[in-house]
Amino acid sequence: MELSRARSFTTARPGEEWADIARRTLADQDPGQAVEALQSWNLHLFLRQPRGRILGCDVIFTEPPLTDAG
Amino acid sequence: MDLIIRNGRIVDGTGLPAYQGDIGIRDGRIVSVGGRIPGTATEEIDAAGRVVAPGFIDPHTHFDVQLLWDGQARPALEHGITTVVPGNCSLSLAPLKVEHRPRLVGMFQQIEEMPDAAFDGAFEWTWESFADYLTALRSKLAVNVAPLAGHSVIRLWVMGDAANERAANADEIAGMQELLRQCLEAGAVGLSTSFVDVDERLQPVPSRYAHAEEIDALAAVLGEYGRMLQVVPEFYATDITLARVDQLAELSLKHQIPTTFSPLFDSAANPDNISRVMARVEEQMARGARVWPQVQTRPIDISFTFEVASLLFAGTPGWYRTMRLPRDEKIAALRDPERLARLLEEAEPGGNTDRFRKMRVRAVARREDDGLVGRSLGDIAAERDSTPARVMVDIALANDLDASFVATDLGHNDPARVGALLAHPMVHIGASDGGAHIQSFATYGDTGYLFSRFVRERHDLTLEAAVKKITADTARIWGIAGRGLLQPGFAADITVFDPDVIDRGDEVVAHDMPEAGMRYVRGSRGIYTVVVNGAVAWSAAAGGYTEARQGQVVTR
Repeated sequence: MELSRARSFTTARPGEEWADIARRTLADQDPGQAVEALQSWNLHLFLRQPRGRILGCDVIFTEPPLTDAG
Repeated sequence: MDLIIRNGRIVDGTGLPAYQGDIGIRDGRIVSVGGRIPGTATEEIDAAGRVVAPGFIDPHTHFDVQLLWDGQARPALEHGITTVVPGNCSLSLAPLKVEHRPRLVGMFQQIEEMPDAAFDGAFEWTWESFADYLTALRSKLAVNVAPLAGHSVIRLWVMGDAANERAANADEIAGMQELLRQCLEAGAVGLSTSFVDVDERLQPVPSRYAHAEEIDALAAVLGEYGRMLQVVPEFYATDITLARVDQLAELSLKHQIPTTFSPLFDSAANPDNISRVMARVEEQMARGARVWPQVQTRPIDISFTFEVASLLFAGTPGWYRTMRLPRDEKIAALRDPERLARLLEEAEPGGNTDRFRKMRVRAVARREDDGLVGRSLGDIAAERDSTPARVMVDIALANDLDASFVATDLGHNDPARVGALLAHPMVHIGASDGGAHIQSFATYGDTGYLFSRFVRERHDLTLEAAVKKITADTARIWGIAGRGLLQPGFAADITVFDPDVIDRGDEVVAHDMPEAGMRYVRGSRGIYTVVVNGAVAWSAAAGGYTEARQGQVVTR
């Protein structure tokens, strides 16, 4: 059975930071802009203390909310 | 026979219509159901006019510590609960090395609001392994236990301090797999993990440092035994919860395991949450995945005093820090005009009084303040030309901190929406948190509330469907064999109640924790007899709790 489309996400691999994840998931974008985009879609991670720390179990969205994406 | 329950209205857990009959019990097991049983038994109970149902199973509790000094898990037993699942949310009392005990105590205190006295001298730590923990527990039990092993403590065991710092390497993951295997062999019903909790230093618990590879490896071990994976998701954020549903579904399908996440709440602030999450659950269940959302029956109310740091203040760090101060320092801070001004600005930013306005005074120590009890802080503030947060502080200080307040209807309080959710065939009724948050609200009586509110009053579920949800369904979801039904050969876990009366009692303060520690509790209404493995463990006719200690670790 096919699932309906859901907001895409990933999780960090050991040692990965924002730039690594951006490079892996948004490879066709400018690296700096890709990191900014990733952080803007994941404020639940980017705004927590210490700022931007990513934990192994975190859900990291790789696109904006579907309602906003249209 | 040892026990015959006669003339009852048998609601057997299958969901089929109730019928009249007797139930016969021998050697802790049901040997006869329905019809008139001839002869006599050592003990007989007349259940005329009452429902005879399988004992209720509570799948989300934190009775871990309490069971060591109170094998009856009071007051859960008197609500008809005959089996509890402790060890949720990545925290269990085993496996645990001696040197990690302070860390676990800190996490329990932070996450479950367990006071110091619950650990200091209330029991003797005699174990490190899961098997030895169960040995320490067994002789005390009046209720059955289906214990989870906690991911955070497994990580601590294998990685030590690094459990809170980094990803596990291949050897460490293999070590965790072996340790989990030992727990499951000893009788663990599964593994619990958490994606949201913080420890006593307000740092993420160890389980949150686990990468996908580690969780997958542990799920693979669960698959060897067909055991449960329980998680605490980011329940406050729908998109993340949906992602968790998908993650759990993939693990369930890959390793052929049941999974459950708790809690799932309804909230007026996020009205689409339930429909979106349940739509995804339905899709994943249709694929053959087992992803069971746990939903509690009660609305969210939180009581608090200024004596302890309530989770209610988690969203206002200044208040939370102040509440964690030693008593004298706390009073001094609240009396300091500058510090109080900062707290009030945090509580009521820009004059917005929404946070505390609807909260009510629950109890006071000073007789002259009796008239405040039951009134809202907004109402009192208007009368005093003050603000809700300010009058709350004033009342607390005037009563030497011996005043309590209650925030009601914080969510999950729309009966029509919650009722429909509870009746959903893919909703697992649970998430009581029994034995936790004991200084914020009573985590007991959710089953009584299910019957009074959603069966008797609103008719969202039939009596038979409600019983099935908290007995046979729970046993099947968790793989608890031989329980949850009234059938010959099944364990004689039985609750006898009056369907017209069963309910949760009022929330009251009790000082029944070690060293007379305080907690909020609720008694039961309409429960008449609770039988665990064939022994009457609670009886209204006999005055309440009995000496029976027939509880078992149900996975062994």
